[in-house]
Amino acid sequence: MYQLILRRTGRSLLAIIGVSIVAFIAVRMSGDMERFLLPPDAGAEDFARVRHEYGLDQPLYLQYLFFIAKAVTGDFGTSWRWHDPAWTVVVDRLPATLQLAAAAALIAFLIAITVGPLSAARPGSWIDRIGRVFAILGQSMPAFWVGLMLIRIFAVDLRWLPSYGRGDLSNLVMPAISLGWYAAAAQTRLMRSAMLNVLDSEYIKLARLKGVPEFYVIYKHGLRNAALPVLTLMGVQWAALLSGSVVIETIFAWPGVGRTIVEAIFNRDYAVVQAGTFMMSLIFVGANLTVDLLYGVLDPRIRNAR
Amino acid sequence: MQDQATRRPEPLLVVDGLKTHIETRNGVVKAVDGISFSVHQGEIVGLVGESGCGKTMTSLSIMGLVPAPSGRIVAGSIRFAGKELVGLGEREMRAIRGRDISMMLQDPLTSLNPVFTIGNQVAESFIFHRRKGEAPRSIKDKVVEVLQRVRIASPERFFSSYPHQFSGGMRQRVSAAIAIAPQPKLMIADEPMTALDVTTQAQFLQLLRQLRSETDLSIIYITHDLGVVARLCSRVIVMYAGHIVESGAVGAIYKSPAHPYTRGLMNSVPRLGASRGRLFQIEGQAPHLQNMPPGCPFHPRCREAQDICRQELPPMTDIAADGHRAACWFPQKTPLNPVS
Repeated sequence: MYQLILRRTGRSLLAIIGVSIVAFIAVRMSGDMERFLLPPDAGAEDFARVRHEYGLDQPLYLQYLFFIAKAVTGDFGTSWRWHDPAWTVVVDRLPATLQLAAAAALIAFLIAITVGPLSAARPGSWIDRIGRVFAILGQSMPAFWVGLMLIRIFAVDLRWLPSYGRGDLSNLVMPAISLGWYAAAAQTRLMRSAMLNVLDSEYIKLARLKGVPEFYVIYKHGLRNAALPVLTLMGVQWAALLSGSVVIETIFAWPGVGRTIVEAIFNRDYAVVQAGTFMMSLIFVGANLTVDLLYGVLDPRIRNAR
Repeated sequence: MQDQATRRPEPLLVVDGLKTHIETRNGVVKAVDGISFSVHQGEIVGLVGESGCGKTMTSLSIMGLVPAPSGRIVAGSIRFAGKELVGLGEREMRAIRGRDISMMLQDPLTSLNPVFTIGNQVAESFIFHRRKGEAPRSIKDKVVEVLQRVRIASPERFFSSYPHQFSGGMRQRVSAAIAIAPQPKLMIADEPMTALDVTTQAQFLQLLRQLRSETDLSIIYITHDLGVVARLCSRVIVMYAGHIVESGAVGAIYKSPAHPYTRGLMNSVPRLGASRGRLFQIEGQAPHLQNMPPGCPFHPRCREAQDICRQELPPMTDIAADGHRAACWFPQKTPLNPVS
């Protein structure tokens, strides 16, 4: 088990370094920072001075090495726009993004874990049909459209929920639903098909032959085996929920990391983009690592593998 | 062994005119089509036949686990220890299933849940079937004890191990432990040795015999292996295309099988010492259970078939006074000679 953790952690580190390189290069390819810092009539020597000040006149690989050397100490540079350390800018907005993504993931998880097994246990029943309609809707409607429709119905017409900002739970409901619906749909369908497969297996037959009540057959013997593929999907979706939240954060004026990164890209705020992508990749990788380790907890065959 | 049946008045299990049909898109499959047989306490009965002849569906009918909603018991009765099982509610059936009647499945590699410990899976047999007035002991003790009964050397180690850590033979012992744990009266073993190698099979047969003599357990042993039946069972029932074609004491049937199908089966078993000619084979294929021919189900493949065989289903008739019965218009009376 320790070996497993060690190996997976090593792989995760590699992934983070890779992401940081790509982000570092990509943001520099998107445009020059100094054009935002200097007035339109600035001369060539002004440009050279600013480039030197920010170290932009160095070769790219040296710039990267400087960046990494500082980053490992937690220093991602200063945002020229916010005049704060870039890391602080991102960290301040992290709770909002995490809260939204977690709420969406929780909605998806709860729906998948109830509707999925139940529809698999009785294919063609009313719960299976409702689940199917729900899934088709979720998978075919883009999140931003769901968001707009929810605003239209529940904020404009019914006036039940606030349409923007972050505050109490009522602010969270609509963004979380628009963000989580797609994930819920995919997870429910996958849970259903994985469960159908599992319910067809011999050990389920034996459990029934033993006289195990159907509830335990499904939720004890079935769920733990059917959970593995769904868990993989959840890991991938956690990433999608975080990045997808950029759109939802914009629609609902949710003060999160996604919106901040988008603004930083437009402003060529290199430091914030780098700190933000680093943070995101940390979360992605963390999620995938958690999934990998959960495999081991759920399936003893993986736990005992070399 | 032979007279065990006559000694005991009331059989443990009486199946009478059982018909289990399955509706498919292409019509009704008559998987079990009117079979009757009984099993006495402490008796090991072999249920023999080709794949798809209705052996497994018969056992699922007894267990009350015919795959719904397509499958259904359409007629007949199953009486177990004096109680009618057909039409019993799920709750009552579950109290019997796995407790009074248990079942072992074919493949020990797939019939144990890979994500739970062996102790956990054996314990379920106790947890869901607690008997009243039982001496209160911890579940773990009971599990260890039952693992010992199936001759597992270090039950303590097994308790917290997972199925994938053991060989097929050991896993089948665990399956046997699960089956006998609730002290059932009847155990149905559905080809439990198919996945085992020959030496493991011999040990496993030994184990089944011991279990029977220790607990007076009745066993229905489903197989297509006539050699195993000869070594294990006292009585044999031969099924063909959803019907019972012959039944009786093992000795009688092996010596002089009356039904042409049974004769064909016996002749297709390779024998030591027989000359090495081509092995006998029953011509043709088993009929598709959807469009069964009228008359005797075996007539398209039968060399002795006459007009009546194509028109009327032969009833089970007595061949000898010892309970040897067959469903054939022209039963063979001569002993079987080894093919030469």
